[in-house]
Amino acid sequence: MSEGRGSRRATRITRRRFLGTISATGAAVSTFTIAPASIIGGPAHVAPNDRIGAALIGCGGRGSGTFKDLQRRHDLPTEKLAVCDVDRRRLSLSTQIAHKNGEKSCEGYTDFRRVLERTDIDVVAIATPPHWHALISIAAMESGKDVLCEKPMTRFIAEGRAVVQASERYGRVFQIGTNGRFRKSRDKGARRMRKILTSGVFDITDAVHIIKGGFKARQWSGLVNAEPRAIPDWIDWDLYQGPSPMRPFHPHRHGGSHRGYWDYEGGGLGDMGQHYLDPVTWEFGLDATAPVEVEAHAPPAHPEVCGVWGWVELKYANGFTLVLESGEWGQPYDRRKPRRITDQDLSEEQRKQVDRMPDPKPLVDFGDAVRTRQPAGGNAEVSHRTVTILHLANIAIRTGRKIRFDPVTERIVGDPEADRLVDVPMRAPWSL
Amino acid sequence: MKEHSDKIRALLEQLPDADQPGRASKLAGPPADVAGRVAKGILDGGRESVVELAAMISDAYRPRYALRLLTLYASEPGREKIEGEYRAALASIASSAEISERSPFARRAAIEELELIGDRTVVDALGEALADDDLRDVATRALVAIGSESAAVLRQALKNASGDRRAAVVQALGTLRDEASLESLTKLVALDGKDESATTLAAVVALAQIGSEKSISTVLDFADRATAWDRIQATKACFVLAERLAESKQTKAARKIYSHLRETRKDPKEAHVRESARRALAAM
Repeated sequence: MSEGRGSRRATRITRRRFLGTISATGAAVSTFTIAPASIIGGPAHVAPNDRIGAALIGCGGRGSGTFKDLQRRHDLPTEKLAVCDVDRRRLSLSTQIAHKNGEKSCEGYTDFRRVLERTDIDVVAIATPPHWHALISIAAMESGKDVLCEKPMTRFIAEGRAVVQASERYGRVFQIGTNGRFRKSRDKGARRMRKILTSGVFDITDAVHIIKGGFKARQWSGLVNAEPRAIPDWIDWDLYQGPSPMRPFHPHRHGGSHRGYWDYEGGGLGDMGQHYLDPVTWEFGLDATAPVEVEAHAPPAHPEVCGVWGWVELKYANGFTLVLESGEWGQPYDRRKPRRITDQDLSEEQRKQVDRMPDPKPLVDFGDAVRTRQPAGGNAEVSHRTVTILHLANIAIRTGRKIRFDPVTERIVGDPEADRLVDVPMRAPWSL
Repeated sequence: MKEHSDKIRALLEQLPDADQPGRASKLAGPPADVAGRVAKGILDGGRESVVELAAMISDAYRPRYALRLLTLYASEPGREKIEGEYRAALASIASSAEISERSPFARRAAIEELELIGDRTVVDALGEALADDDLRDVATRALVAIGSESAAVLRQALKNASGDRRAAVVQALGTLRDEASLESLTKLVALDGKDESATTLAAVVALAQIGSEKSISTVLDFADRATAWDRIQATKACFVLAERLAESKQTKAARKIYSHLRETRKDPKEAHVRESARRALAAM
């Protein structure tokens, strides 16, 4: 498998070079073949004929769909220059498809570091298993690239904060690959709800939102008694494990069913949760904070394998209660009933106060964010806050204890064992 | 011993089988009261009972799962005495070469549990496990999870380590921000061992995490001459060091790093680095 670099790199004018020059001087220099941004549009406009060098890291499952979203959903004129996977079968297939589709410059890599070293790549789509999401996202931003990353954003809470810091430090665009937040932000009722709940004029101690079903708890749990197999020659197993502990190979740990192991993800809850909760955190104005108290109804968790669970109750400091219920284990949740806040709960004066508030700003699509250098609607901070809900739920499941969380320090309070699951050590040489 | 193992086997039988007995399958999960009863029953047998359970660990799921049940039970608030005794039992398993003859999984499993509930009383046992290539990574993880009380053991390990083990120990000392390692890590960077490039880079990153003004020239010099992936990571180390210094009110030192990056990263390929440094300076 070729791991060389694109021969066109030396002569190609990249979008980043264009943007970087604009950023430093305020105008594009005349040697560029594309028109100056000041003529065409905003301060970092990508000219219509300019192609953006792009790479896909993680070619299985959602890989091709995530990459296609760069063009279809986000309207970016990308040119696929690299594909990368530790699974050489997938890599070979993905490279062949790219060439067949006329993307002759596309080269295959098994090591993402070689992709990120390339300076002709400006945007990276990441669709690896989640234990790699944070590290590759961070490294991509360190090498000056914008990132579209599949959900879930991270494997544990400290990873998310590190992604936020990298995005801020390097001024790179990060967007998580879920779209519910965008849909919700266009909904009139949801926009009103967000205004009410972020207005500060109303006590919402009895608001309860329950999400029941669809978490695939059993489907995406792991095998507890799988006998190890020999490592096949088509996979770089050490690089696959990456920051996670080295384990014997078993096919169930790879190829979609990886979701069932704490080494890689957080079961169906960790996987589906970002889809379900991304619109919730937007609508209810919870995307700048986190739950403060979390309790789970679940059997004691296995050390390696994500298992079934019943429900998790998460309370916010403002009194908002969120309940996630799998419907796949134990007793149904019966502590509270759903309670939706409406305009009827407000006094006349409170309604007027909410009316006077400005409408929430439209969310910026990833493509527009790349073009204009604004934060994307599903940026690192809000995505981190959403996935934090799922990590906290899983920590409550794994410890079997009610946990208390400080949304500012992002640490668990009064439970040192549970707190160790907030920031999990990584296997060298990988670190945040 | 037989008395212990018979009792443990009887207790393990109370745990539900995996959902498709006889083949690789999923955990059905016992109710909490059953799990608690099994854990208490095993812990009541004391250290010997915990060791006996660890010796039973195999590809079958029950013994390994039960060890986690003990951890969850013992770490409940109000059970500090039980937790201390259990922790000591895990430490004795972690450092026992003999138990590996009964179960090749026992030591690793004990160390994995200590990653959750280990404290300063077990760091010596984990330090012994660092010398075992098969256990090095899990032992390092557990020591990092325990925190700064592990630093002395890691510093000691650094003296005799080489290759991947040295890189892992260096990384751990950086994560723990161990100021006492500053000199050793600086020497490692100066050595710049050609066969240990991972260690050199890890030492640069560790120095940045520790956040001492004394490391500025070491980190900047390495970043300036590094190429490819090492340059990306070493440049990050420059930012991390500057941020650490700024956090501790050493603004002048932080400015020195940002100014250096702004002035030296003139290649358009590193425009984002120059721009980030410029923004950081403007924000100070």
